[in-house]
Amino acid sequence: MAVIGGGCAGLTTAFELSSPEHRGKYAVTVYQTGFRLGGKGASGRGPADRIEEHGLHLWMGFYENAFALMRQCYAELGRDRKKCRIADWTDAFVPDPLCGVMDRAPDGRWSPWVANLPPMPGLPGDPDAAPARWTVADYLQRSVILVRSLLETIQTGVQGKVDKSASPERNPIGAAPGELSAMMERIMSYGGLAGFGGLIEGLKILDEVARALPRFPREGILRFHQVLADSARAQIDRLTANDNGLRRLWEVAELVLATIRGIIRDGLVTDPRGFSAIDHLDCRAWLRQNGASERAVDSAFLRALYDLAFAYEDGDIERPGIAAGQAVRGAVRAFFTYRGAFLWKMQYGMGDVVFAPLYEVLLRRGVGFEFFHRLRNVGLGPKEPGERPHVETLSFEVQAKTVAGRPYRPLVDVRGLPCWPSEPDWGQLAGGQAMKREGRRFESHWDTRNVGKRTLTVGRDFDIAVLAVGVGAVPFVCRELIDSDPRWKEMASKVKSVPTQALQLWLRKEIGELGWNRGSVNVSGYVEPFDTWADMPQLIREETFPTPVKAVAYFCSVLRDGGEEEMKTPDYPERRQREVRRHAIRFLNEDLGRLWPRAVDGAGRFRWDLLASPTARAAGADERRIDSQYVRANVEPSDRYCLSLPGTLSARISPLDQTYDNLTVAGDWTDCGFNEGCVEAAVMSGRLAAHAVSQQPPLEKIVGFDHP
Amino acid sequence: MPSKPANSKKNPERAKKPELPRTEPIRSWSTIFGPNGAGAPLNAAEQPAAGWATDSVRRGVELGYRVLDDYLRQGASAAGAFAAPPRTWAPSPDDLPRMTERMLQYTSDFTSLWFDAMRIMSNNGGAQPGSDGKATRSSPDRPTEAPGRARWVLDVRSERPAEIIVALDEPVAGELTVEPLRASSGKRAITDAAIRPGAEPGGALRVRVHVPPKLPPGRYTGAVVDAATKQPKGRLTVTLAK
Repeated sequence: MAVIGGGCAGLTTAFELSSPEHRGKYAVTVYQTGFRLGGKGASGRGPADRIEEHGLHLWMGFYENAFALMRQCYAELGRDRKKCRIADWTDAFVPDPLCGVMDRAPDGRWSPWVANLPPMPGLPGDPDAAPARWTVADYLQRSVILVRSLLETIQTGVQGKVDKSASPERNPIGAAPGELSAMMERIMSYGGLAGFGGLIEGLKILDEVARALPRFPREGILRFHQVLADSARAQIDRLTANDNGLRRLWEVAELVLATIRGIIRDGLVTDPRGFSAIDHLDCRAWLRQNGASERAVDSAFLRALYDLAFAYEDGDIERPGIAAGQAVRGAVRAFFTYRGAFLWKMQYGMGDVVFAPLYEVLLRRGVGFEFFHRLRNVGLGPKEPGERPHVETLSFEVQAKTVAGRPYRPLVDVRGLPCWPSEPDWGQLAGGQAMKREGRRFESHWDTRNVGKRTLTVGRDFDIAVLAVGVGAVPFVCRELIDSDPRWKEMASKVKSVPTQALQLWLRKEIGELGWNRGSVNVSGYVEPFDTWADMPQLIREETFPTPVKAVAYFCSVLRDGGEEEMKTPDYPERRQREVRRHAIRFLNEDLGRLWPRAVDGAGRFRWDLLASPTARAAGADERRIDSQYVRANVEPSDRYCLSLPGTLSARISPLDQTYDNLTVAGDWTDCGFNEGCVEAAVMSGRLAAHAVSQQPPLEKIVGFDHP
Repeated sequence: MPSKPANSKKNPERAKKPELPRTEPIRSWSTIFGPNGAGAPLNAAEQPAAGWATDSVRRGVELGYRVLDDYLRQGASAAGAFAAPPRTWAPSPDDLPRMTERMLQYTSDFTSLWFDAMRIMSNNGGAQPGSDGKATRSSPDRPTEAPGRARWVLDVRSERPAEIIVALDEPVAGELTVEPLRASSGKRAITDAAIRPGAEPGGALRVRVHVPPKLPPGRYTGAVVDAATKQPKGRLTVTLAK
């Protein structure tokens, strides 16, 4: 088994196929560009042991497959807690119930809306479980509990501490009857508002009546409709203009109403395609056509949905796009099937928490690893009549070889914890010091220097290939497939991806001192160039800065795509890196003050002296201090983030596809049942790829594969 | 690992992927109501037939459709009355809010019933725990047999004709509390309501609803909660006619 690509998807396939249940039936080798595993999730350790990520990785409580993988991995690893501080998966992942969106009021002012989403029974990845059996009562109960959380955030806010009534220790399911009735009373108090909402609903239905019954004079009905709708909207606007709480609740209510209306109107309940039946539509467009107002579709919730999925075609924020069916499916899974907490935060870098343990377990199981192997071409064999096509060759560039051909040892020890470095160990490489002086960039598509070529031939070097590269790499390495197979051609043109940008800051003051008093939170829906922020205080103890660090902040966002010609220039990554650096400076000077009011001076400019440097060398107290932080332009083809644009999901290719008799695909860009860029999709696809080869795990055990 | 021939071009026996019996996900809504792998996997051809398992849900859904149809007819009639180009016109402050609140309530109830129906369909028509009962004004205290489930004793007092629906999501044995039954608007509520499992000889369920005098017509709903665990167990709905 040749698994090309050491990201989540490829390593999941390797994990499944090397499972003891198979009794060594599959000899698996993972081929990886560069010096470390992880793909888009790779992280390294830089100066002061600081963690350097591609961006922000949040694990959601519904990631059943991903958590099951990690739990099995840690259980098998059996680390000694006395020797290693990540001994169990619970050391690696911690519940993170506080999340927020940046809400923009009608008058243009920004304010955060932070919610403490209640804990739910169980833990993600609990064995022998899909999520607990859903009855309608469970569904409604969850709705009630979530609405209650929503109302509590409106009522009391979260003023620097978690609202006691929603604290994680307290099981909201066990709320006292008095609290339930208070909640219902509060809902009822919005009855007047619901009446207006019903008015608009009624008008929409009247409109449909008018279309269906031509004997009713259409003009008159339309006039009636318009007068009432205008009147109602004006009244709602007056009611909500000065009450952010009411306005937010109304926006959510509108979105929920529109979703329910759309589900019924489009017959999704009985459509065998489930939510996929509306994947040709953009989520916002679908909501609009089902009655959501412009304000609701531009609400903080929806903006956050798009931001977290980087759902902007070509990285252009004026062109948002996410397939409606996948968006609804994702929302249902995210809000109604999470276990434990809504979000789970990694306590270390993703490389430390995910890819180092996976690497160790796979190594122990006998999986082979070939680092410094960059795939160049998937070569097809001659077409035999009556036979399915097959992959004949896998061609690689060998970027480096080790001294004396010894196996490359990729991990470094950070005070007892196996981690990935941010640079290769040059000492292990033949001619390594020269390569270092030359500035070899093994992870860069634009650095094609190599020490040789290697071609694997079917039957001699591999039998079955698992293509688990990033979606951005597919056009470069699958030319033969794309040129000869119309489905691959369609997939390559329709399944798009975008570059992203990331910023990590280390600060000398606590977040509260900087003026943020809403708790340690993940916030999205803010402005570009960095619309998402996560507070990461748990990393402080792990890093060894010479200056005491009191806060760590991660920011990320989509990045405008370069043109095709632009991307061919050899200095393209450096130019984009400089561009993101300029974005970071602008963001800190112009936009960060709204989040952290005391991080800016009287003129509203960022206080650069707040930044902590990982080295003892003093940096200036001006913009140049940005160079002591971590700024990243993710423009490498393999690092691009896969999109779920409307009308494109049907072009994806499934890991279960039977066209090629010895090729399967894995990655969050494949048709894996949850067609959105995320860790869970990658793991699902990896499991599907394993199923394609071995019929294990059973499809029914891949949680969420069968789902409306 | 299958044996690897030295030269695959000449040897047709090179290892291949197996043929798979299923390559597509099941997107039917039956999957959302149960864990993957429960029973035999379903494909599109094996979806539960569109038969209705319980009379109560079928009646409820039919009622929902009838009410919506009725409302649409009323709305269309009202629209027709405005067919002549209006000069200046404004909604009546009394009529429209009432109509629209009813519309919202019916839509909400109908959606809930729809999901109940889907749940039952996904269980292949298996009888669901829970029960419903109906009563009218001044119904005598007498046990009412629900088909094959529990025996009921109804204690209802109301000035207006009342339809009562008790929807329990699973059998309950312990003490229950009933939250005040409220309508979608207005401050008044039905607070004197109780459900007592096993309170009567023979284990019949006792349902008490005493509607306060002069309570306006409308639909009043309250949660039924397990007194010990505080978990919601269902809902009690009283609809007062005019």
